Amino acid sequence: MSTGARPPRSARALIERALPAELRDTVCADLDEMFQRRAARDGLGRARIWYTKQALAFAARFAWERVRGRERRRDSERAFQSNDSRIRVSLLDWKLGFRMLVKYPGLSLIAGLALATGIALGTGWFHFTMMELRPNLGLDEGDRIVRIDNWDRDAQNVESRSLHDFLAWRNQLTSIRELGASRGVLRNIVGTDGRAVPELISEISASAFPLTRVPPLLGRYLTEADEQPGGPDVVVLSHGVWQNRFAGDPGILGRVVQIGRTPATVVGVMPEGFGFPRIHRAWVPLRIAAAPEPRKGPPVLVFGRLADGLSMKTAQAELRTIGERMATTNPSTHALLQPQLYKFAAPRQESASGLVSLLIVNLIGVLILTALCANVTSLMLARTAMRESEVVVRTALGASRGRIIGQMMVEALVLALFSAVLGLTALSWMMDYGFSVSDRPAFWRQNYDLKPTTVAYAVGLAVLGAALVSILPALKATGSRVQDGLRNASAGNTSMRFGALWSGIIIFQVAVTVIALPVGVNFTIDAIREYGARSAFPTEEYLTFEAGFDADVLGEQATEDEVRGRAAAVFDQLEARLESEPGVLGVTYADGLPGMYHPPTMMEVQRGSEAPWSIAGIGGSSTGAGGPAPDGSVLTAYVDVEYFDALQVPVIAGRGFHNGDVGGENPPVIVNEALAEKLGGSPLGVRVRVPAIENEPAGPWHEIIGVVRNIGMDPTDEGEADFVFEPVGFEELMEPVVAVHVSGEPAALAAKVESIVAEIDPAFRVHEITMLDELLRKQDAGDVLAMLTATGANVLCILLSAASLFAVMAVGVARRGREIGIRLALGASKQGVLSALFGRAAKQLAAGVILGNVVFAALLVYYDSVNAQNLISLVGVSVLMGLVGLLACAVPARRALRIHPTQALRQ
Amino acid sequence: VSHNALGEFEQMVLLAIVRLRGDVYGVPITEEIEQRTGRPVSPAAVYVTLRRLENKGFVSSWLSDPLPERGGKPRRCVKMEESGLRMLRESRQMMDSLWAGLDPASRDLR
Repeated sequence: MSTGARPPRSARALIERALPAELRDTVCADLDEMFQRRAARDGLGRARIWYTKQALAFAARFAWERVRGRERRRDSERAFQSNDSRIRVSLLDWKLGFRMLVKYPGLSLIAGLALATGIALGTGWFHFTMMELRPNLGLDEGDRIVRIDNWDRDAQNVESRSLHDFLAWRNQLTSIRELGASRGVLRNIVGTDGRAVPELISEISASAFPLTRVPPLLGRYLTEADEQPGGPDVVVLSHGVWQNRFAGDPGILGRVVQIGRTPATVVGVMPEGFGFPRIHRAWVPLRIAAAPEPRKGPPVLVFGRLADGLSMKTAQAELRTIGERMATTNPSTHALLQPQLYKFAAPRQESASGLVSLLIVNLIGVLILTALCANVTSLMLARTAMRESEVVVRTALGASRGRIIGQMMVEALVLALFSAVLGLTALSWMMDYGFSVSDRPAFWRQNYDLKPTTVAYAVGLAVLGAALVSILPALKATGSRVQDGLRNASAGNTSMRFGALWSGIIIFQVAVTVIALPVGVNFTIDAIREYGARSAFPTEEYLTFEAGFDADVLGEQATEDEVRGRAAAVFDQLEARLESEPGVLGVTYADGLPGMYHPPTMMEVQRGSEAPWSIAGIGGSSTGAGGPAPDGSVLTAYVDVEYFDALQVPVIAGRGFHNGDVGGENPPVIVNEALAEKLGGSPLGVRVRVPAIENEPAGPWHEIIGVVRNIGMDPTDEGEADFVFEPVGFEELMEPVVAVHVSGEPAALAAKVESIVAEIDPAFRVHEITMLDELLRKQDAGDVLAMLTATGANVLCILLSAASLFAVMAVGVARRGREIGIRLALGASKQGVLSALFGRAAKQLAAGVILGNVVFAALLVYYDSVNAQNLISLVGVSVLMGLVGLLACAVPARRALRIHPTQALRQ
Repeated sequence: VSHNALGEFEQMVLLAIVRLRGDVYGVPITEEIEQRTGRPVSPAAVYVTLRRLENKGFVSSWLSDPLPERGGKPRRCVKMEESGLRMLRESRQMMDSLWAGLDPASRDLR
């Protein structure tokens, strides 16, 4: 219905400008249509006026629409921003994080300690499992070096006497090259200074050296020619031995040195740090007799390198085939033997289960961290509540939720990273201490220094910890009630609520403290008492060492008795020489010196012709190195007849030992005071023996001929452990420990001992020459670490409990400041206000104490340990927790009561 | 009242679409409202409202084939969506409940 009329051009242009592009054509066409109708109906003039009015209407309407749309977009963008889940972080957050550490020193300290403990434990666990499961040999393609274990399915043990099999494997295996074997022996090396010092020496196949791909520093390493029986004796020295024992002699090559009784020519020196296969200090050729018998001969370690391009699986398959063939040809010895292939330094459980156990073990570490984080979270919640006004104002000023969450996470991360540094430092210190005093054998180059992966793991734990402790408080602080927060913030209060979770955490924490504290305190008290008791014995005056020969030192034909007889003869000479040294007050030996491990045994007693009776229940629990002696057991020590004289322990009844007491069928024994008291009456003439146990017949009767004073080195809960001393000759002991009582400077004597030995018999091995106090310190290192850990855990438990309770109170006061002021203004009593305010904390404390008491009491009943000491501990700890709660309340209570009514009303 | 509650003119536009059926576009909608209400209606108000309703998802639009009588320009046709119908019903119920028990001729309304 076109009339040919056209709308005003300017109006049309205005409409086109007003309309958004997507509507322009269609709406203009619609308006044209309406214009034509109006023109036909009302005339062109009126239609043009109508059109112009529409143009103005369109311009106004769509302009307004555009403004509204822009506002809506901005609104929605703002809304989007405030709910922005993307976490944003800026450099400023890190600065704020540091500032927070300083601003809340108490929280930083306690939360930092808790996180550091969690991170140290988790990282420690990771470090050790990685060390054990994925040891790094530090050798070229070290992961292709393998070890063959001959698994005895019957004994469920590794059969190490594998020289026979080693030869078979070396002839037949094609998938493993440079197959070699090593046998570790302790031999004295007589150095330039004339001292005979035992060193760990490896009798090793020549192939071991090309296997490691480590060239010698000087000379050459062992060759196949050296392995030939009857060839010249040669030795390759480690860098350490060359430097320390031979003063780095540049002319060492070709020099003949004394290795045990064998003079050997030095043909090479290995570079610093080399100790293949474990921590060996010198290498001599492994010479194998023509045809070793199956499952006979010395234990050896068999190793090799996977042939190029072949996998463990292939080599294992070939090894299995050879094993099956040997089982067929030697059924009597090999039917149940199964050769297995492992990466050289890997533990036996390597492979799939190793990885699983790695994960499980580390999961425990992560769980401990999580438990500690739960406690720290309660503190962070409190801090966040105190900072609510800051969060609200920032939100009101346009900060997005993600931005604030990001800030809080970074603050927690700063704390966690500091904690990680603290935790790693503590871990490093504990490892240094632990390994400085332990003689744990390790693989060469395997050290326990913290590695980049360990540090990365600690950082990972720190990030995890930071996330755990910050997310809940951050989400709570940036939750939906910003208006409430704004209102409360303006009144100086806080609107954050702490739900059942927080209460649960605090109750749990108090309960754990109540349970753990008595255990830890008893442990610490026992340890302190033990050290106190031990300090009475002058351990610093005794030089000790182990002494003896290797079984094969007199040749393969010599019997063990011959070797021990020879050792006793050498010791007699050594003893005489030492006693002639100035300052030496006495020399003696035993199977273990005071404070060392002594085997506990059951004891049966007979007085005269009375029926024998067992002295059950008098052993007490030793906290010494031997661990708790079972009830009814007595510690036994096999000692030299001069033992008590040398240790200056007086015989208080009967007589001491003399030479005639040694060697009989049933030699007499001496008991200590502790045992004498428990036997009742005079112990002299009473007979004791080891009773028949299961299939073992009873031991011979021994008559008690004397009583000695308690030495005081093996304290128990009831005083000193019960001891029976039996006299033995030097040759009767497997590993005799010698003690030299010295007045003056015992350390100077140490070098002298080695020199004397080198003169008497260079093969006689005196090992671990050290002071008794030093030896016991090493031996008790584990106990010391455990004591430090227990004490630390106690302190941490108390601190966390106190801090959480303090947080509850402080937040309560902050939240209800105005209410407190008004109540006080209306005449409420201070007691009333305090009880209303601290009711919740008191309930949490009470619930935790009751829960802890119930669980602890149940444990006491279960372990049948209800006694006065434990009950006193329990009551004491409950009272202590009450005091801790009171202290935690003190500051917030003071703050609450100082709120002035007028000030509160003004708010 | 939800955020998307319909205004009076929006209800009119939607009702016009329902009544018209078939090819519905701006011109007949405007005319339908004018005829039914007896009041002059600004086309600009109709187009703004249609756009708003479309943004809210109550109506949808599409372009017809080019039409020679419109100089080769298409129409922007609209159709009611289910959500629009639902909102329309809710608006009706809301008004009914407000009117319930009241006599339009009552003095109370004066």
